[in-house]
Amino acid sequence: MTQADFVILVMPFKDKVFRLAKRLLVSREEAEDATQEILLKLWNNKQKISDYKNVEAFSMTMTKNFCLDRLKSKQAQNLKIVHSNYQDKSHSSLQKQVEARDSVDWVSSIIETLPEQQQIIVQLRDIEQYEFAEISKMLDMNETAIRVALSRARKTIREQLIKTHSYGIK
Amino acid sequence: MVLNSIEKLLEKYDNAETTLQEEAQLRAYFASNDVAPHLESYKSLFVYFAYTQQEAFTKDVPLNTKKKSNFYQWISVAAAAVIMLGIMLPQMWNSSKYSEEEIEIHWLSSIIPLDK
Repeated sequence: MTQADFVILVMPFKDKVFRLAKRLLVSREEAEDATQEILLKLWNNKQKISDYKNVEAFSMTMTKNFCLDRLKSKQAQNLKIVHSNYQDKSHSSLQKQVEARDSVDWVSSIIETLPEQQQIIVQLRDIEQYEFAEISKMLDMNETAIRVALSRARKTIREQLIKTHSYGIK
Repeated sequence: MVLNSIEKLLEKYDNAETTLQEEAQLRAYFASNDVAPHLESYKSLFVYFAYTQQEAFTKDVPLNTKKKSNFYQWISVAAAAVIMLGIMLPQMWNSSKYSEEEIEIHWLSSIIPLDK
């Protein structure tokens, strides 16, 4: 497999890997490092890649495990990952941007409070739009358990949102 | 009419029973500007999903690191050799500063005492 082949193979899901890493690690830099590491691991195992039935699902599983390990080791060292992603990209009108950023900040801080597993499931389903069957392969969970966790996560998010929303009105 | 079906979908959505197609419908509805006031709180959720979806990984991955590091290793070996040669060669020349003639005289003088 040449480098070009590899880039073509990895292209469709490298952003998904990054976003999942960022969901778990929060910090943009940490997520970038994690993504780099995962892609490098894939590259170094490129001979075996053709044996995997689904490289994308495999990579997502790898990302999940890698990030959870990362979090665990940080916790063990009593370190917290701090993020400094405060700059934003300037596009669309200012009004829209402010509105969008407000709700984006809300929702992302609400999701951050969810248990890790629910975060992962929300990420895979609501943001990356995977089928339940795919998610169940990635997480090695059965579909019913995934649905239960997802429903719980969605309900929590909405309760929190309604709280903040009505607080904003009053 | 539309509102009714959206409400139904949202209920299913909360129970994680919607299909991807139905979730796409919801997404489309909340992306529009006329969202019913009592569903406003859902809007930020779907706006957030759409927003986050666009985030991309922009960093480069140094895929050929292995080759590169190998190359640098050999460069360092070559550099060490050059430095060693640079130090040793002038010393070797220095040590054979005496010409063959001088060496011969020295050798002869050891055999035949010059001052008779």
